[in-house]
Amino acid sequence: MATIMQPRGFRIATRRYRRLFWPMMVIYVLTIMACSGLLQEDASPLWLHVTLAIATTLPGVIGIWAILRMAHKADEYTRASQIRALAEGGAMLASGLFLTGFLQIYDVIGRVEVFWFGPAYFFCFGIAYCLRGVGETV
Amino acid sequence: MKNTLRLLRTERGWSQAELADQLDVSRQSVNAIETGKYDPSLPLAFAIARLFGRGIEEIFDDGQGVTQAAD
Repeated sequence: MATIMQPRGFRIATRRYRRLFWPMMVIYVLTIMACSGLLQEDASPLWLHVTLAIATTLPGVIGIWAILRMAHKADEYTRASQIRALAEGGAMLASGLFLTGFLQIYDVIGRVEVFWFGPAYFFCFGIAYCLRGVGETV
Repeated sequence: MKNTLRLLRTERGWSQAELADQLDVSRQSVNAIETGKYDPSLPLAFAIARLFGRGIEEIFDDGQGVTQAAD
């Protein structure tokens, strides 16, 4: 087979992404489970709460970085699709944030945990990416 | 931009995934190029041309015909 120039390393980018992202998600879940056990005692010090919060956040941050690295290293069309889905996910989330904010101001809903906006962003990103994929199916 | 990528691919009996694998791009990229939704960059166009042993202008047609060299 002829040797060809490879504009971008899609295979390498995908492999690197899987190798980093999924272990991080496993660590994330395990950390949450461990934290819920460690923080059951009311007497646990503040520093422990802060440390565990950072420890739980880190795998998520690394997961986001893995997505961005994948987008950067993948071939041009995949990169464009991912960046667009990330932007569309952000737009969906921002719209949801505005709505939630006004619903709170007008006393329609009560307190909403800020935590949920993180998973909501990934959900929106996933929806945007899937819709793009469905539209491109032959 | 029109192109003959699908024709060239099917002539060789390759699936989109097989072609994508050889070009080291995603299958969606191949599909987008074949359906004209996406014009490949110059490096990718060269890679496609080399893989099929054709010139870029034989595979891709921008509808402008052959460009004349400047005087």
